[in-house]
Amino acid sequence: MPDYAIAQESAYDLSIVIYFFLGGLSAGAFLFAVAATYWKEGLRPLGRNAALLSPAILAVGLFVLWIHLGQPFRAWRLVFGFNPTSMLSWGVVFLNVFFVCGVLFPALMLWRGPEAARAPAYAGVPFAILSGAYTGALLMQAPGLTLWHNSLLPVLFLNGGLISGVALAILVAPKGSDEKLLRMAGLILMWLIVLEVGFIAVKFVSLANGGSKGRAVARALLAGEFAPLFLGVEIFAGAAVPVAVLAVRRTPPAARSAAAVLALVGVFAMRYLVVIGGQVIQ
Amino acid sequence: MNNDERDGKLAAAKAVGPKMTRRTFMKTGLAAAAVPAAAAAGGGGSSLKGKRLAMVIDLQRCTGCGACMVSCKSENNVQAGAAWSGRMTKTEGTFPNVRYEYVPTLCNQCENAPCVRACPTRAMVKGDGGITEHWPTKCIGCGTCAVACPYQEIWRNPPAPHRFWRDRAAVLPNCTASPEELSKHVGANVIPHYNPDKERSAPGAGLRYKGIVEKCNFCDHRVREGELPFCVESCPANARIFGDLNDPDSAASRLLKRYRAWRRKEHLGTEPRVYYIRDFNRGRFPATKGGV
Repeated sequence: MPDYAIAQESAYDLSIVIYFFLGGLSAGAFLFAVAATYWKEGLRPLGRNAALLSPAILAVGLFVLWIHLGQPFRAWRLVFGFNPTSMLSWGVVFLNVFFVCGVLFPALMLWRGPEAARAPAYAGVPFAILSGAYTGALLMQAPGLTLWHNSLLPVLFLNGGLISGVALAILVAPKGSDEKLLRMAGLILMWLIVLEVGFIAVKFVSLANGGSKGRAVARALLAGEFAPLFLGVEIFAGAAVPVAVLAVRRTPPAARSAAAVLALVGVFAMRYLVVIGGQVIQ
Repeated sequence: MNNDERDGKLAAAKAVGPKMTRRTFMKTGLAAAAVPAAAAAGGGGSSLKGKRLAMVIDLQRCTGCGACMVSCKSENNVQAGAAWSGRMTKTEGTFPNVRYEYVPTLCNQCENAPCVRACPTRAMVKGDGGITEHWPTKCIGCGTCAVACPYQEIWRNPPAPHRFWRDRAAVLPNCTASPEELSKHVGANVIPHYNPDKERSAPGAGLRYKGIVEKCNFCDHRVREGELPFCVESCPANARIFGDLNDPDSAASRLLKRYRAWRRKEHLGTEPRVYYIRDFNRGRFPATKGGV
């Protein structure tokens, strides 16, 4: 019986979507930068700008999250009122550690060189992963929402963060970067997008077998009100086109940048569909 | 508490009310907010300890008049756009074969409350009698409990303070006075978002903070003092039965033994404490044996 006397507004609005996007982007950029700096030395120049941008992006994301609060000046209670069953409580811990590492890593790298920055970089890796993944676990705490109550969500969100992080690294690569390196980053991006599409496919298997509610959600995404955003923006523009462009043997630099922008748009559409769509379709 | 005592308290509150400025009110509110939660919880007497409070709603007795919704608004001073006591309705069919259903709703005070699990500041807790209590002074207004609640029974206060008694627009233009004119006329210095009754069970919670969430709490300020929730009290059809499920002789326990009850979204395992028995419509089917 859906006819409530007074309908509720979605408590998680666009600011949460923006925060999820920026938080994932920051975590992805950090992880790519660390990998580029230490595990694949040739990629080092590509990682530098991503490392510099990562904490700045996270700061913007956290600011958006902060002003979303109804009582922003009580945010300190998040630290002192820790609730172990609350994913948001854990998220605050992860984000704080990640932010400190995210600031120290590029700062030390610029000041003393990459070797001096190794400690905060390595310490930050698990917390960047957790920061990118906990947002999915946060949504899992809503047992009534079919699209949210799904254990694939943290993986989906973390991978989305990685996609946007690599796309950002390609876009902000220093001028005159080695074309070979950029092509390699483009291939990483392509495979991450392929992986994401695979996760989405698995998600649809669970939706299709999730009884009438799951099928209703799948229908809304494939043929209903959210179909243009899902099929048109997330899957076609945000996944199929970038994969096709990046798979070409000699992708022109401009096309690669366009593919990276499209990948970012696709990840944003994914966040929007899960957060807003998940509350609308019930 | 008997009626005389209560009237005396109300009179005292009225005498103080108009003289209180917003500033002094804020001060008392902040001072009260500093009282530790544990002391506050025991403030009204701990008679609810060990109880398992529940509400049984007899849909056959319910007439769908909406008195519960109105009384909740007046008891808890609930702002426009929210209904702690709400309803779901469904109309089916075309005339003359129409079926109408009405189900009153409220916070289910779930035993496994998703809102309590999700709250990052422990503002939402399971309290005495199994009531899902919300501490307004601890709430940061993140809305996580509101999305975790499968019943959509947690409401966010608007970001701007409650202005109703200061609004300058008349309810009916050229017909009624505006809220501001009315409050001026009766000489009231109105504190926006003030909920004096709630102050009785949760010191510091009498002030309606903007931006935080709020919800039905089984009128714990009344229940702690041995009264019934106001929606139960004011139901003209006696369709709401309130009681302790740990007491096998309570009216609620006896009804649940007698009738097959249902609860909202039982499959989620939240174990709601609001039970529905019987049906809004009487059984209505043609007297045939069917056939193949």
